[in-house]
Amino acid sequence: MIVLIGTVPYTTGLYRGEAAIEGKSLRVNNALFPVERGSAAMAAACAKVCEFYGLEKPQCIFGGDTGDGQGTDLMFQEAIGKLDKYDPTVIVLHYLFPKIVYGLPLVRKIKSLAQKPQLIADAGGMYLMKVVNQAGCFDVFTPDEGELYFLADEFAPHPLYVRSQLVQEKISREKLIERAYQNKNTAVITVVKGAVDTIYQNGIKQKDLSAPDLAAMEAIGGTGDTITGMLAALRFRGEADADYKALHLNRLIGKMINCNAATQINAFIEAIPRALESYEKNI
Amino acid sequence: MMWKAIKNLFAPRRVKPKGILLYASVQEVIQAKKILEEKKFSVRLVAPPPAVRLGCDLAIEFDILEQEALETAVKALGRLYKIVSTEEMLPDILKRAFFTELDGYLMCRVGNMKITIEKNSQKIVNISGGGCPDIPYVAEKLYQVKILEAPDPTAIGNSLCAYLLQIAFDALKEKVKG
Repeated sequence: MIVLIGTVPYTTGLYRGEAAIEGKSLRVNNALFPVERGSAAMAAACAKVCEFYGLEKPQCIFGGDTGDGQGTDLMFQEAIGKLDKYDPTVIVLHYLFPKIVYGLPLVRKIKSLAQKPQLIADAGGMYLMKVVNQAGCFDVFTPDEGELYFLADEFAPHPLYVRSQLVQEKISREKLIERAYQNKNTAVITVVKGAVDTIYQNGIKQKDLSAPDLAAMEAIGGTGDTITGMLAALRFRGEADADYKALHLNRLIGKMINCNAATQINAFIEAIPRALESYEKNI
Repeated sequence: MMWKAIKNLFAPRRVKPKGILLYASVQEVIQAKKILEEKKFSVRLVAPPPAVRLGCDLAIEFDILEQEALETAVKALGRLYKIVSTEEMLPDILKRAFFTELDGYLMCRVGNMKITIEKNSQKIVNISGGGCPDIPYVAEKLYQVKILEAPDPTAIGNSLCAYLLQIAFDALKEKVKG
């Protein structure tokens, strides 16, 4: 089962259950969330891919949190207390308030599971795992270029505090990746999202993707979230090249819907089945 | 090899930056620490640095990763406090904004946060980047609002990502004003 752990920017509370698409919204049990960006967009993208391939629906452990951290508390308490009940084979750690106190207990809980799930972290989940020195336990991190500076800076507790000298020196992406791996501040696989998407494994470049070239995608909030969601579903399906396929699908969708800088992420999510059909026909 | 090892041994160590929460009395410090711990913040009692001492010899040290939410929690308690601000710790380079023209739209990026407006209407059409929980909420509130009339991101969100977004927002506003 896929377990998606994150926060949604609504009323404080714990939202647990299957992720299901309902019109333009994401349903988690009795709650409906617009899929505008963040963990709701990630979960919706994941659910769409699962639906297309007839896979089991992902399970969400979501905290309602608009920034005071209370929903994050509820989310972590559920995950740390009951993760084994979900029987996860893939876990995504996503938007959340990176409270340090929960980092190690969560990793300990994951390590106590009968079978090690595949671990994916993005956004706040990635920030937290780097700060508590547990990045190496994860299978995949999905940083954008700004976040890559953060992973490369062994002292930065947040992208806000990246040392100026790193940015000033205009260090190449390869060098940043090298530093991130040297300091054990990234996962086994690092999927760097940007004008050129690149996949690294243990510091070694595996694949690049730059076409179709859609500059507007950088401006669209949620395009990183859809990659993470699709990647989780494709890994759950057991696809050997899941990470690359997720990157490729995202660009394919951007082209299909003729996106511009004002496009909203729900247009991407709606187009996932069409893009998958097209992808499957052309391989 | 040997020389490099010796050099590393004596190289100045960089200490992870921390924030300090200051109160006027020890009693308040202890009460605040208890409450913050109950709220699951990583805090500990330290001696405040002399330069920022307020007359009490205890302070609360916290991880700056948690600063914005911690400030919100402390403000909700209605107690007097002073914090060594994130702004003072912010590397200047991250205050640099990068602008990109995108076919009738203008995107401003600061660090990992991006904000985009339609140039003609000056309405905010997208906010991208960030990993803190308030960013989707901030983005929802600012969507389709004219940037010159929009509320500050930090008036809506509490996180470090919201703070970075604020810097991008201010830079874009300045650019629009010309």
